[in-house]
Amino acid sequence: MVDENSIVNRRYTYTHECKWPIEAIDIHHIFVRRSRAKRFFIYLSVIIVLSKSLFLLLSKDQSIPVLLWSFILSGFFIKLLLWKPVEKETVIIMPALGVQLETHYLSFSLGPETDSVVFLPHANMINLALAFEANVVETAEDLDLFPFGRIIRQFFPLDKILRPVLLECVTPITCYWSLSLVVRDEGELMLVFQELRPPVKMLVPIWKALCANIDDEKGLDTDDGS
Amino acid sequence: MDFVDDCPTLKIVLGFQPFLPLFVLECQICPYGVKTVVQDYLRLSCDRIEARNWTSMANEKHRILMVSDFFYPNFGGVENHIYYLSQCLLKLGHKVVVMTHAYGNRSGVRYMTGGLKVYYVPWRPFVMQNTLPTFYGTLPIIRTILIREKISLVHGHQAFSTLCHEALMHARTMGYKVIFTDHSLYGFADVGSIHMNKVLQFTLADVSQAICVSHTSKENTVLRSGLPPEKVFVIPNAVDTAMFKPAPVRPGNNEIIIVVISRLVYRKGADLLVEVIPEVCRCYPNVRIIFASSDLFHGVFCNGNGMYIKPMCSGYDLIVFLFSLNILNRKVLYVWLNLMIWHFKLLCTLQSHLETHFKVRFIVGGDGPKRVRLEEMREKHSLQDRVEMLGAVPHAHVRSVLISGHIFLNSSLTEAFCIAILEAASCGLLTVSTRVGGVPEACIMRCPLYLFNFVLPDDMIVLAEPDPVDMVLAIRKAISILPKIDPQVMHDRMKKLYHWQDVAKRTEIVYDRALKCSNQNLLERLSRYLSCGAWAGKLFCLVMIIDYLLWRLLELWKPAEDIEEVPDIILPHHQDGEKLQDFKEDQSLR
Repeated sequence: MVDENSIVNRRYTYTHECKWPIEAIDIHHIFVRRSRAKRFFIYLSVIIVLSKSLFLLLSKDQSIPVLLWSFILSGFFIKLLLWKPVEKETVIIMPALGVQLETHYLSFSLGPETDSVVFLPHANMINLALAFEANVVETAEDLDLFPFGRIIRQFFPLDKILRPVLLECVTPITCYWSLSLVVRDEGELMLVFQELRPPVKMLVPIWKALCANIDDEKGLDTDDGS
Repeated sequence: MDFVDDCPTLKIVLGFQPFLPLFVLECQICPYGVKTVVQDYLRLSCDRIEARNWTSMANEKHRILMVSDFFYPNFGGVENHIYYLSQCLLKLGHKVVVMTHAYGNRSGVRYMTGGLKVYYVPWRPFVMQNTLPTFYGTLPIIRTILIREKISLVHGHQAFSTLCHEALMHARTMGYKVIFTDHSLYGFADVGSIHMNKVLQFTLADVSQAICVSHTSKENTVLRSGLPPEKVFVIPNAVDTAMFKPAPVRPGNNEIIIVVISRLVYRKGADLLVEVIPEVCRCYPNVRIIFASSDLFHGVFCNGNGMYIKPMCSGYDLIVFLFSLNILNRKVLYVWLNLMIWHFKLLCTLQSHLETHFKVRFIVGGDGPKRVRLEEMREKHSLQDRVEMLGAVPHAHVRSVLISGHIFLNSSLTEAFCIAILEAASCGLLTVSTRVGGVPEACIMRCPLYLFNFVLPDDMIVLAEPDPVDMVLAIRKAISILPKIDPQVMHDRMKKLYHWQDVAKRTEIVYDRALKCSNQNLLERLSRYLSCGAWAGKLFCLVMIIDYLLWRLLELWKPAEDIEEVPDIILPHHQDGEKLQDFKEDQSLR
């Protein structure tokens, strides 16, 4: 049985499911949405810059380093603005056991701690992109379309989690909400979403589910102890 | 001249008017002329009449962003002003958010008393606690905060704050109403002041309303910035009288303790102290008081040096006897009573009319580059037992230092308002201060109707020119009137005269006035910047145009719809026996 709720905004898609066959397992996904218009605009800008550099090179006999610098800068901007190696992040809440945090990287990306990278053939990459853009992905099983991406997993036993907290983070240029875990014997908070910054309306149901799970566990412990 | 407070003083007597009784107006002749000052007084009075009607109608609650480089955990006049004003505005039902730069590890969002939300933006200060000026670097974060907190107007504090200037500039670009409060007086002659005044001119060219803490400060701000005087409100500072209370037991009368608490820098008159302290100590050496009478009943007045009493048969005998003691050359004053004085109270009452000499001690709190000079003065005149140097005094300990003294000495060369005087008066200390800037205005009492201003008599403050001789005379006068001072009475008067709730209500009126200003597009606003100077005007216009373009780019890159609004969190109330309520969250979180 799958129970789904989803919230969508311009950058992310949130889905919630209870995993079959054990419906008590709570899974929350945050997917990264790719913007076609934004990618088109950026690729167009890059093409314009590169063709301008090439034109200057051919017509005015400019030195080749100018063209090389154009390539480097263009690659840098594409990497900065479009290259999002993260495909999705997942929170799996297993009652009486703990919480597992997962980060799924795209198959053509070099994620952290990567020990092997598999590059799909060009045709499969196109199919991959089209399928992703069509929002076909809804459940974990659908991710069989992306079988080769790196996944980083982190598990926290329930007795080590003191409390999940919603925090406002401030950077020199922006503010955003983050969901963190206060973990026993750890001096710092553990971010639930390491790579993504989903909005608070997507974080709140996850936070509530975590709180409910931890409160249930503490309630059971109290009953056992009494 | 450097400061407006050097202007000559003119007294104007206004005749009786239907709504205003006769009163004497003391004002200054400044380049704008007496007319402007008089008009301001009349306008202020009319504003107050209008404000009383306005207050009853204005139930609109505002969402205010206070911006300054100077805030907690730093302590100072500006910091306290922002904090207390914010707390009172929160109690009036407004939403207040403070934005400042990070202090060490204090970075991010913090909540203070009463639910005051503070953004410590991780922009490191680079000199004198000021954020590095980047012109456009703070645009993204300011825009984000304005949108997510649903701010309705921006209130910047202090002309020296770069964060304040940038925030006001960006807020105006985005169409918000802005208010600026100036807390200090500045000069006109030196290079630093010239640049600062130009920056101020740029910021205030397009501000909705401005607030100054005294009329002197208003004149100074108007002259420096070219702002129309009718846009500037005068709202004096206040003092937290609950925190600054007199001591339960007043220090003993056997020695007079003069307290000085200030930064030991040039502006605060530390060089004056170096001249004044030795002179005062010389005027009041260790002496005894002798009461002599033909009657054996003598007052029991004692000083720390003891009292010498000898019954005399006649006054002539007394004089011969005293000369024989060779006391006269020690400047001891002899009181010779030939009449029968039966009542102890009469003796004590007469004492107040005698020129009595006490031992005087100084307590100097504070630190700064001029501390070395004070230490040298202490060594040179061997005043180690009479001048105590405390060093930097944490703000939480200021009251304990104040209540250990009888007189508070302020030797500042320039002050827009001087909250320190109010704090000292609230603790029951008689104040001796230099007559500079807005200091005389710190003693202006307002009647309960907030319509008229009357200057207090000299029972709370003794003013002197910033000159050592005049200050010594003022201290001597203060010592002579010290027996008349009742600290608790002084504290009670200060409670009625100065309170932050009054400041908040008056600031609320300014907010209402600012929000009623018309919205102007970029072209209309650019015309104001052009009037700032031949070259400066064009430069300012260019800066604003670039700011506007960057803002539009940000609107495309990160639309306002992507910036989610923060839910309002209502803190539980707990006041004098009220039940604690459950913690409530906004419905959007359910």
